[in-house]
Amino acid sequence: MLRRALQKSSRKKMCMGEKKKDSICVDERTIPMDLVSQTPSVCGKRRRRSFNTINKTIGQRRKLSEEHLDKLDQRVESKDLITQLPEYIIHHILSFLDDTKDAARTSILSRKWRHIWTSFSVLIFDQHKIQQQVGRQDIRNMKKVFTDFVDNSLKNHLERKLSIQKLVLHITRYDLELAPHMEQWINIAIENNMKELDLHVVKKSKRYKLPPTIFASKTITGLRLHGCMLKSHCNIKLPKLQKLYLRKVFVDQQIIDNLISSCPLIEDLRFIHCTGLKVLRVSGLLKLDRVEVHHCHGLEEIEVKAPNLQTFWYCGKESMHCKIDLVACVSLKRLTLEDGNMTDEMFQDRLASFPFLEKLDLSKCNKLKNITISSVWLRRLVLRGCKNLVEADIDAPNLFSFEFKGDKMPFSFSNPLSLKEAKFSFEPVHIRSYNHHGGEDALWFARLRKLLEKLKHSNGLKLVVRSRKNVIIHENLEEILLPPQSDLKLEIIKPSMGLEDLLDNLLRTWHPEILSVVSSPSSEFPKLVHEKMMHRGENPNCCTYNTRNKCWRHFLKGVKIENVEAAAGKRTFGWIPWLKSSPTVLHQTISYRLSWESVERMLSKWRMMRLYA
Amino acid sequence: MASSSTSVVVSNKEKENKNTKKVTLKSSDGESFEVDESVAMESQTIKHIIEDGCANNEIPLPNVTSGILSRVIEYCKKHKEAAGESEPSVTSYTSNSTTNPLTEWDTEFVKVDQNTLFDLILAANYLDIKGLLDLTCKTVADMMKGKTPQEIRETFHIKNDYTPEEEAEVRKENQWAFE
Repeated sequence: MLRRALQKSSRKKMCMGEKKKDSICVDERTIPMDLVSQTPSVCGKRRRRSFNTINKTIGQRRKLSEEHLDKLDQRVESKDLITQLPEYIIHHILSFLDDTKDAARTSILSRKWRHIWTSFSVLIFDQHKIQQQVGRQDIRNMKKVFTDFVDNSLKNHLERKLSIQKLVLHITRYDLELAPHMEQWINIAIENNMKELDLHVVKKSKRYKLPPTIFASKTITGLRLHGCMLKSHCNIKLPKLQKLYLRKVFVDQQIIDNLISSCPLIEDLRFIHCTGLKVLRVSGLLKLDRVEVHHCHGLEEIEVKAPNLQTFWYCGKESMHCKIDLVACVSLKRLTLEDGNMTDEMFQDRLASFPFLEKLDLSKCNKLKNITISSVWLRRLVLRGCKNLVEADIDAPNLFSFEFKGDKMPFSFSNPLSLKEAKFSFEPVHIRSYNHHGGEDALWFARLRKLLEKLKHSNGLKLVVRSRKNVIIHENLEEILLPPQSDLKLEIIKPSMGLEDLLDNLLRTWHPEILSVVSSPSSEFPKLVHEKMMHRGENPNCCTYNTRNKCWRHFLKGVKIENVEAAAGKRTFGWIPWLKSSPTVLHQTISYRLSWESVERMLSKWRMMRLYA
Repeated sequence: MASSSTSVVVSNKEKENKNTKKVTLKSSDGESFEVDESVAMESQTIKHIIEDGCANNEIPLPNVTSGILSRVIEYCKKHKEAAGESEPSVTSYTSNSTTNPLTEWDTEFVKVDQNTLFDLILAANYLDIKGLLDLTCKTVADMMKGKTPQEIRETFHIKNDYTPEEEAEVRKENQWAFE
């Protein structure tokens, strides 16, 4: 630190221009967050600058009188906002720090923080992370390092007689030797009124069997298990259990039945990739709000009698034949089904039992051929990958959002649409050539155009047409000519979504090569797009804390305006000559050709910058 | 009908229910804000006030200034819109909540100075708006991640009031964290 200060003072003489800024820095204590959150290289500069001000203040202190000193100190103290927050809020902030070490280090910030840390009680132990910090020579002792670490942390915590709110144990290298340690830790946590347990054991040949003490915990509200084994145990008493998430857990029938009957407060029940369960019968749970069952091999029957159930998900492969009975769940609002064995009749029966359904999601329901969906309450409908669907007759006057993924267009809307948002992903089964206009294709285009006709009266809807590398934004839905390509993805964007959001999302997710905007000559839209593209700034200073998921501005290399007229004869970009030939070119059409850095290259570049920052 | 549709977000002309119920919220500095009841109900505190029938004319919020209240209302409006209309179709295997489609908007929303950020935290806490509280707290946590204690002190202007002996003691206590 001393060396840096010396370096900085020698540089000070060179930064004559900055001197004024530095002196302002001393007085202005409120540094806006934007200045703090800058890219690593600039961050370094700022840090050095602030060292500079600290050196200055130290120098000044020797000359200043006591009064002035007090004033300065006061100014510093009065702006410490974070320590003034109520303790439980600071705990909440600390709970977002993935690394317990980061949280523990706050104990050194000031006296008050020492107290805050000791009363903080979310303990996260990730075996991989902890063992990663072991040097090469200690590899044989890695396990001991881990167990010692957890033992010490727990001991530290308990010596202060604190309760444990949540215990997270992520075991990446499980073997039988660890089992007694784990049992001890879990027991300690239970004795200390643990509320939530998150146990994740990466599954190897041996499964970890959960200690029976867990089933007698009076305080536990959330149990999230991954890769363990739950064996039959008669005395289950979990009076406060609200959430039970089991993933890749081996269970047996009796224990699940016991759990369901002895935990009256369960709200959220999820079984994902669990084995050993044959029948899931749930009844008598008045608070049950959500049930999810995903790919549970061997499950033959699901019967849920929960009058307050709001959400139900079932995902199963075609080879899994499972009978699902949800008749008594009349308040169901959201239903997601991925069931390859559901016939048309079964579907219609099911739909009829949920008069208040607001969201319906059908994926890969390959036995569905002809269905009718008629509901006043339905707001969102998703049809994804139902390969054999021939006709879906949709009568949902209040439908707000629709999503479709598949080939052809098997759906039709039988009344005026108040649809505000739609996503269509057409994926042809066979590759169709550029100029092929066979009968099937023509029919499909006709239907699509009819659908768009129905929507064109809604003001403000925008249409985004996307092919592999190209994006076209249409501002009006009138007179749209669709390119004769069948791997299109269309998205109808609701009027309330602003241009900023729309463009940011598109650019961020797709990094398109060509972006075109089609709008009427009097519109402001193209100007705004132009602003955004051309004046985005060289080194954007957003996204500093997002080390992997930075926005599109960080990847964009160059923007060139593509002249629609001049771009003839380019074989790879079939859009341009097509756009040129269509009547929509009478509207304003601007195309931008964008060049992007590769994602891998940028990620490694940032990694290097962080190492040397 | 050559519509010159602008792309700037205009207030939703096409309100689906024309007669939505409104409530008036009054900030600590006397400014009144009229909002849809459903938007105001994003705050559990306000929700309980309304449900208890105590919201006759205006709901006074003595702990929230107008500047902060207007931002909070903006947040609630945006999130209410997003939640009520489209839900992301991501499988929610073991997550407690569905992934947030407004991540970009949220990121921009919290790009404010520290004063405002902490005021937002306190307001979200007082008004009991889980999403906003989580968002703002996570932002502060991100400001702390990976920083040395000295850097954290500088960021938040925390004064180190330990004596050197005390500091050494604390370091020893939590040795495992400082290695």
